[in-house]
Amino acid sequence: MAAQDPSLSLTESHPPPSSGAAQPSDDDFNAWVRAQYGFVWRVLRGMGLGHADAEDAAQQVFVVAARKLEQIDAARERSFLYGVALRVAHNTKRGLRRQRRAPEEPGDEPSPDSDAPDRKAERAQARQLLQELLEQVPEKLRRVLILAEIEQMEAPQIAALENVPVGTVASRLRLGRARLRELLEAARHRNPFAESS
Amino acid sequence: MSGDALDDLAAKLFDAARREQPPHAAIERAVAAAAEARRTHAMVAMPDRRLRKWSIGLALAASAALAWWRLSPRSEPAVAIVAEPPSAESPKPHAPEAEPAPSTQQRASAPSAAPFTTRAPAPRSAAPAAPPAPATLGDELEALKRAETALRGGDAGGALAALDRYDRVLKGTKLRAEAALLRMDALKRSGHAEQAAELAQRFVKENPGSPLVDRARSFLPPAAPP
Repeated sequence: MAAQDPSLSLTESHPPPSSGAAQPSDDDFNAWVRAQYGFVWRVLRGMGLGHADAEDAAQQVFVVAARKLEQIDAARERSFLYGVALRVAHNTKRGLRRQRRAPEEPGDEPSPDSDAPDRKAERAQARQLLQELLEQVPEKLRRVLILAEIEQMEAPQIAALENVPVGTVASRLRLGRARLRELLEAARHRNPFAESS
Repeated sequence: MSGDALDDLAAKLFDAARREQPPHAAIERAVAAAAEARRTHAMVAMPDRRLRKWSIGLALAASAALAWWRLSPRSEPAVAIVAEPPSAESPKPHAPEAEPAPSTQQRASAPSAAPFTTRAPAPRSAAPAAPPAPATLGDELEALKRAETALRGGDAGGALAALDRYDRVLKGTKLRAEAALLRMDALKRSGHAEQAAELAQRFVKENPGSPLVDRARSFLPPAAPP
């Protein structure tokens, strides 16, 4: 299952910044951040962060990556980013709980696209609904769902990121989908595509 | 991925999430922040790398000194160290109490042991009233590690205080060269590059064959000959 977004590919055209003995140039490093940003952003969003929080968190992830550049194994750069993103997501959510800050309202569509406004609203509602449902899925299962269904990764890739056997990934995916199916059944009345389909 | 596939609605929800693109401005902000962090880290990491080299040098010097101390015969100047009164904190492997007479004799005959000969071998019962024991290698190492840690943490003043303790309180001798190098660095970082250079110049002059001489030279101004 190939990912369409170039940043989703584990073997992509942008070399990881630590792949060579020499330090990457500024341009190479910046290109690497741009290429990986989408992945980090979607993981953070999948972990339940709103747009603004995901933006701040993604920035933190890359600041950490910049500081640890020398320690990132070229073959595990995606894994490193994923691990940092999860930690930052947890910290951010903990901070939000401490501040008792309400989650962001949906609808602040982050990027313009060519879709009609009603279509965009539909998608925004869909993302909001998905986030709410995913929040109710146990985290271990949720992470596998995000990687498989949003990032469209194969089980071995997920296993590498999660540092678990492939069999565990398959099992978690099965359980995660089952849980999501139950939740969807209960939330079918909120189907954002009900009118258009 | 295979498995119990999700239904159409779930697929649409995930599709919507997949299509979500981060704002371009957010990406550029992250690029700028990461680039800045990279630059800052490079500036901070550079002295760290130098300190790491020092740590290795310090550890090697300490190991060598320790090995020399353990292996050297009693009649060598090292006897000054082994003749310390026994300390409850760090029992000495060659404590003289088992053979007090030869030990005293050796102290008297060893010229470099002179500063220590004034201290009588303290019997165990008199230990609390005994004058402070001369610095052990462990004491010296600890003092230099403290200086190094302070330096690594950006506290050049703390490093200098630890080095003063090494010189004045411990009267350290075994790791004097390492202490001098650390002092040069601490002086330079605390804005006293000229004093660091003076010290470096003296070090180079007095220790032309030292393996640390190149590092000392790095504290000299480029134009000044060593």
